[in-house]
Parts: sequence; C-alpha cells; structure tokens
Amino acid sequence: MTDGWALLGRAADLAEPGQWITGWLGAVPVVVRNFAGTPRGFRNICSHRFAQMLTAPTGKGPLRCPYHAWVYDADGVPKAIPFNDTDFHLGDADRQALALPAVAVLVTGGLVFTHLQPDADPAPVMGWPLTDGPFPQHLPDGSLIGPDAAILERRSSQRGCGC
Amino acid sequence: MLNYDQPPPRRRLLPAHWFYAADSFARESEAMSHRLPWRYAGLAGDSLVDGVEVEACGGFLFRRQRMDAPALADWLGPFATRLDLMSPALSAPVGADAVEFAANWKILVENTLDDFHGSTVHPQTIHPAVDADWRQHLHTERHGPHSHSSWKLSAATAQWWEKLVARGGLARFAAQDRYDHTYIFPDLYVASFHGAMVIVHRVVPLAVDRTRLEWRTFLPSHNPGDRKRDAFRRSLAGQLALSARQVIEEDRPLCEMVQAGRAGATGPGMLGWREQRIGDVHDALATLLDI
Repeated sequence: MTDGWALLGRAADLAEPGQWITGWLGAVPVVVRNFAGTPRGFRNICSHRFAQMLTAPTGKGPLRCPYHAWVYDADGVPKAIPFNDTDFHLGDADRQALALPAVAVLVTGGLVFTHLQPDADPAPVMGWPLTDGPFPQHLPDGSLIGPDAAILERRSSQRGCGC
Repeated sequence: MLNYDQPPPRRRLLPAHWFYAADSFARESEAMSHRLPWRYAGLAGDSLVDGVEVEACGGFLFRRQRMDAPALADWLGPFATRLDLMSPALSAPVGADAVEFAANWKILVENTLDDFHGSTVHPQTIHPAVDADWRQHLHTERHGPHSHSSWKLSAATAQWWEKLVARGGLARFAAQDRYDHTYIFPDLYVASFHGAMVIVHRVVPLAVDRTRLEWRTFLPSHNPGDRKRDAFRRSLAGQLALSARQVIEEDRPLCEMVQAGRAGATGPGMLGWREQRIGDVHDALATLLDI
C-alpha cells in the first residue's frame, strides 16, 4: 500500500535554491521546488487559466507559468502578475485566495516523495526500505530504485488516469 | 483600451469535467447540434450536405439548427457587417492547413480570445507585429458569445504590408493598418491583416481531449493573371502560410498544457478585465447546457 505517497525524484535535484522536480500524482501534475533551502510542493497548475506550469522532469528557475508569466512564491501565492494594475486588480487577499494547493513533501533516503494531501502522514514512507538492499527494489508505489538513491523507474513520471 | 470604466463582474467558468469527461462531451455535442440556433457551415462554394438549411452572410454560410432561431443578422449582431466586409477576399484562396491539438476545443477558443499572451507565447511572431503600446490601441467589441478585437499593427509591419500591397497588386477589402480578429460562437474565427489577407479558422472537436484547427488563407489581388504579380503573390502566400503555421504551433503546447492541468485544478480560475470574451463563451455554454 502506498497510502497515496509517490516517489517524485532525487533529493540531489533539489539541492540548490530554485531547483525543482515535477511529476504526476495520478492525473494531477505536481511540482516540488527548493525555496531558499526549503522544499515546498504544489499542484503544478496555474491558478489563472489552469495551465500546467513546468513540464521538464527537473530544472532550476522560478515557479512561473509560461502562458501569462504568473510567478508563485514559497506559499504558492502569485507574487508577480503581469498587467495586474490594469487588467486584474488583485490585492493581497485576492492573491492569497489564488494560492496553489499545497502537496505534502517528504525527503528521506536521498529521495523526494509527495502526497496530494498536504497533511498526509509520512509514516508509510518512513517504513519503506529505501537504503537497505537488495537492489533493485520495487517501492510500493511501483517505482524501482537502485543503490545510492538511484531511480531506475519512476511511476510519477507518467500521467495516471486519476481513477 | 478597455471598453469599460467599472470592474467587470467576476465570471464563473465551466466546471472541469466539461474539459475531460467523455460523457460531458457527448452531452455538449448534442446541445451544440440541437439547441444552438445557428452554426458556421462553411464558405460559399463549399460542398455542403444536401438538405441542410443554410443562410449566407457575405461569403460565410451558417446552418439553421432551430426553427425558432433568430434572424441570422440578429444572431451575428454587429459582426455580420464585419463578415460581409471581408467576404470579397474569399474569392482568392491561396492555402489551407490544419493542426490537431491534444486539448478540448474550448481551450483553443479560450486561447484565441486571449488578447495578452503575445509576449509570452508569440514573442517573435505576433508580439512584434503589433504596436508596442498594444494595450492602448486594442479595441474590443462584444455581442453575446461573439466578439471582435482589433489591434494596431506596428509601424514596421504596416510598412511591410504597404510594400506587399504595392508589389503584389493586392486588393484590400478595407484600408486598415490593423490586425482584426472576429470570433463567432462556437467554432469560427476570422483573422485579417492590413485589410488584405484573411484567414478563416474553424475549430473542429474530435473528442473531449482532441481538436483539429483548420484554417484557410485568402489573399486577393487586383490583377489576377498578371504573371509577375501572381508569382510574387504565390511566393508571399507560401511565406505567410509558414508564419501562420508557426503561430499555431506556438499555441498548441500551451493549449495542451491547459488540458493537462484542467482536470487537476481545484480553484475557480480567474478572468481579468481583458478576458471577458472568454467569460462570454462560458456563459453561453452554461445556458446551452442548462447548468
């Protein structure tokens, strides 16, 4: 049983501020980004017109939607909205209301895990044998890992049916 | 310029299932076929299915779908005049093309009605072609679910078109230094440049998450048969066809990213003051679907 947790990527890909990892939890695109040293996870969907924002598996840069360049901060709140003064007129409360829904993030054993429920209990993942062999080893979410946090197969790399 | 001084109402967008659920698509298709009063059927000269009652607005044909439909002119409102104005250009087809999108048809419509993704999605194509102060010069007109936006071309683009008109003997249906975009709900939009080139687009839903965008380009001239000018016009048409396809190919991944995100979105979305044309379409669909 995964209890909804899924392997998203390697902690090494979040080592520097601004680095991010993307993936899918079922039919929901998610992103985890290093915000000034703290990994924060969100639904990877712009609050404006629902575009998936980041599409590469990993990268470095702002959490910015390519459609209209909305940029989100560590709380998932749109902090930069082009033409806001003339076309949106969104104040602080409006922006807070448009914050990206958070997802739970757990970094352990050199790996990054996520869960759609932001307050999900991390205990199931803590029980997964991430550092002990034998390798390769299938994780309960269907991913396959090798020694030294090597990811051989990542179930969250593909969009699921969401059913 | 914006067409209002007061904040527009916050618009309610259609729930997500209308963008990804097959049964919702079937219900919507049924409503589009039987409850919508008029629907674009093609251009004059197209072969249409026998027995279908069509009416013309200039060279644009519309199929009556309901006995109690309002007069076509009333349905089209002020845009009947606009379609009529462009119709002379339809006698000079120079190309046709199509691209399939892995996205719901409404996402393509939202995209084409979106006036301000030029700098982010079309930084090398549309964006430099219009006046740098585009927001000051953009005029938008709305009538029910239909709408029209008109952009001032950049000085360089307008001069480029002036040269093309002179060299190719192009016939302009109107003396305008503008890019115009007329949308007729649900699936027709017509773009024109400098009052010379007309591109007729049709949005064809294939499945809930698949749509074909078809477009036909028209570039009329004053002296068809002039070999030199015809050769120039053919060359120009080829160049313009590549540009048109490039713009569509720039739009496609963004539309597909919206499709990818739509099912997983939990919020209501947000339309800005300049996105009211999109709200009009959602309102019309909500009425059509009884939701």
